[in-house]
Amino acid sequence: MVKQDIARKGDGTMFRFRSFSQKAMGASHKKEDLPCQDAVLNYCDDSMAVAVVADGHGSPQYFRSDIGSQIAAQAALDGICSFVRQISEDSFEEWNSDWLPQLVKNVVATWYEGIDRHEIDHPLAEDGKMEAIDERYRTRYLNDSERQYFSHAYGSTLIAVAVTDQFWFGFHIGDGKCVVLFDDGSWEQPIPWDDDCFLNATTSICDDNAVQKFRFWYGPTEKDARRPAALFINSDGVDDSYPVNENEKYMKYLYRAVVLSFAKEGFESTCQQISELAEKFATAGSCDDISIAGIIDEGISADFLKALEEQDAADKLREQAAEARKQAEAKKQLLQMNRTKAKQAAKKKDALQKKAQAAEQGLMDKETQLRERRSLIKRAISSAREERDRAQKAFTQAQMELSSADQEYENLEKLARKAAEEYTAAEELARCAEQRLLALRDTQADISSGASQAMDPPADGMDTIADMEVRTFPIGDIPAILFGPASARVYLFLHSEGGQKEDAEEFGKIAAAHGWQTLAVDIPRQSGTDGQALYPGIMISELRKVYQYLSKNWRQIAVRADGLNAWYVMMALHDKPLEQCLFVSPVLDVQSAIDYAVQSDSTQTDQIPPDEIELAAEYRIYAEQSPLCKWRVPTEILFAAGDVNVWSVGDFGEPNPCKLTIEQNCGRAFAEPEERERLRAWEQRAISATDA
Amino acid sequence: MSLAENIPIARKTMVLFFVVDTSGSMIGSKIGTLNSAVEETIPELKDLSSSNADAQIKVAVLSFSSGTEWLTPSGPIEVENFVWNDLNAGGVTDFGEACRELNKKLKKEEFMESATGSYAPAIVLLSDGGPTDEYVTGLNELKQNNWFKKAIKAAIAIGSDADKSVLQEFTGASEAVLEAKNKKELRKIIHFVSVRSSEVASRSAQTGDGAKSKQDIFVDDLSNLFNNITDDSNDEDDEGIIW
Repeated sequence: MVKQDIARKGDGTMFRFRSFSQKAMGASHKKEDLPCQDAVLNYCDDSMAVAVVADGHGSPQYFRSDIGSQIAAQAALDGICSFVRQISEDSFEEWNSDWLPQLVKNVVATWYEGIDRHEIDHPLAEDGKMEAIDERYRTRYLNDSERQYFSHAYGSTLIAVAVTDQFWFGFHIGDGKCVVLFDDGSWEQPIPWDDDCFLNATTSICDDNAVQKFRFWYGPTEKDARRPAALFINSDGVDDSYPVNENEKYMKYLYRAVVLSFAKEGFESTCQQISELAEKFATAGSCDDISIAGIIDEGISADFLKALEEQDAADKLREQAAEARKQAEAKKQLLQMNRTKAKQAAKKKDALQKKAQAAEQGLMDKETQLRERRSLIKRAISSAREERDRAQKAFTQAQMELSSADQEYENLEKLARKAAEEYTAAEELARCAEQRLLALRDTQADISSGASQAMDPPADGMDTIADMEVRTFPIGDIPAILFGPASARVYLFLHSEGGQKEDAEEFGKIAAAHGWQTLAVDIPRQSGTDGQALYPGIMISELRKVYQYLSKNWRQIAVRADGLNAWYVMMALHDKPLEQCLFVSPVLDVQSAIDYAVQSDSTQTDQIPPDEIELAAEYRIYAEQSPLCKWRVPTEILFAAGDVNVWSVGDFGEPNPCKLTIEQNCGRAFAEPEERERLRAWEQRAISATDA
Repeated sequence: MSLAENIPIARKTMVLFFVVDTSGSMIGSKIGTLNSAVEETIPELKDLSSSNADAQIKVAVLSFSSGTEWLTPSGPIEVENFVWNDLNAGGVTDFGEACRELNKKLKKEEFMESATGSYAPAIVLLSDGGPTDEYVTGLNELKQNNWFKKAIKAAIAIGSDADKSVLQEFTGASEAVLEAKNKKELRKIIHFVSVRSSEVASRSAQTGDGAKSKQDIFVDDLSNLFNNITDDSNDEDDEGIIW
């Protein structure tokens, strides 16, 4: 609210000073729902102009500072007006330095009276705001029976200035500023500063020794004296909106603009603009409560204004230059920092580059190694491929060679077979030749000795039995007997179990009649004299020995055998060239015969040593493991009807060249005379078949 | 043009001081982590400054070892234009000299020239050892400085060898001395202290000697949040190596 009065001097000379005051509530106060704690007042009449600013403290324990500031402002205004009027009435001649301390004393006392009344009317203890303050302050307030502390709740700063015809003065406690433009164009903050006021800290009217803490300023307004052209006072919200350094400079710029505005825009408009400016400080500046008040000389000359404008322009230029300098300095500093940073970055870059180079070198080394390894691998692969190709070729070659070898082997085999055949033929021829040689030798012997023997085998002795030549001799350790005159043909006679070689006599006669000699042997077991078991392998081996002997001495060989001997013959001589075989009651199937003998206790088992079951088992295993080979020799078989072995002939039959004769009513041994006759007849007939 | 339009209002400024021990014992991972941690914090301070209607943040850096050196010799720099240059370590620990140098610049004619009204500076001291010079005089002089008195002060003890009693003398409160035992903690504490002190220092506050000082508010914050900083710092990785 603008408070102003236009006053004129009583002598008709216009009193040129007008006062004004504006305030705005700080944004921070609005935000925290606090009242505006500033108070401003101004007064002027035709003899004086007064402006007052009081700034109530913001902290919670000063919760009545908005009232305290109002009371302080009013006390100051009233005190000043009263003081000025009193001095005017007294027509003083000389300024008394005691006046201002006394004035301040009065103001402080008035303030205390005011707050005392207020507190009595509105006791602090009943104030809800007490709840929000710190405990220690609350305790002090509530225990303030001496009323020594309650004033703190109303704490405030205070600045007041006044101008009269004769003098001008100001007093100040706490922060805030008082700025004066003198009529010589100079700007000053004439009231001394109190260093106890720093940042948020300030002295206060509520301080115990507040009167002593007030600072004063006084000056004359006489014609020749340097007089003020404008006085401004403000709460700290204004100067806090500017940097602390050269704060005076900023305040000067601010109030110079205000002075020029008063001169150019007029009082009312400028007051309005100051109000807007206060709002700006309150919202965009310090955000504190803002108070601006002052006294302006409305009669300043156009020249002074011009000078002020020039000063303003010069300051602006200076300011621009300073700003440019500052910016240049800042840029220089930034440049320096960037340069240092760039150097550091360059160092880092170098280090990284070195690292990268090392890494690159490492990579290259690795690549080289890899290349070498790849090359090695390639060579190895190539070598392996070559080896594979070589192996493939070798394999193919080997296959071809194998195939060729197979072919060769086949050819060789053919040749071998052919050779074997030729060898067999040659052997046969040799045997024949030998036979012929033997025959020739016999003939020669006959001629020389007049004997009719065709052969002269080693003999133990020579005898004649029933007009037949008989010789006995051993074949190795096998006793042998040879019947009949010398011939290229011989029958091997194997007597039956329990018989002897001499049993061949009758057969020898028949054979001799047909040009065959007959050789009978006593293979040890057969002889009945040797109690040792005759295992089939031994018998077969012995038979082969005998045959070997026969084949050396006769061209044609035939066999006459009984019972199990027939089986021995087939086992031993199946691969030998035999002219004929005559089997009497032969055992052709040893396995079945043994099984039958063991199971049925048949008398037929006399063909196998009955007391040698173990041996029988041996025979059976042998027969099982050594089946009969293909039998190609022309064979005649005589069975007595009822011989169990006759049924094995079926297995023996075709394609074997076998002729079977079964005699009825005969024992298988053909032992009876009549049976023997029938046996001789059969032998006669069978041998005669060889005559052709 | 009206007065409101014609009269410019300066943006309030808060200065954040880093006072960094660059003595020989800081060589290695300590100075390395410090460099990277402060550099990583700058972008957040920039965000804070640009989004803060209350105050512009400026940064000043004083390193001390055998003597002192301002990295910002021309005065605090707007954080938006600030470039952190890596500090190198070497020499002794002239902490007393650092106090005297700081005191010299904590004046409205010097580094506080652009400070406004109630915006006291924030001062973060980082050290891993104890003074090697006579520091008491320098520190006492500094403690008489009104800007220092009103400043938010924090000290970061890097490792267990740091003389915490001296750091406590500097800050005036044991709660304002934080110990970083490893790289991870140092990184977090630098970040937290720098940003938080700047936030508190650059915030409008109620005035008056009875209001809670910004240092008190900051210390309260430290007490509340320090546990969160160090909770997960005991990892087994490289960051967890104890100094």
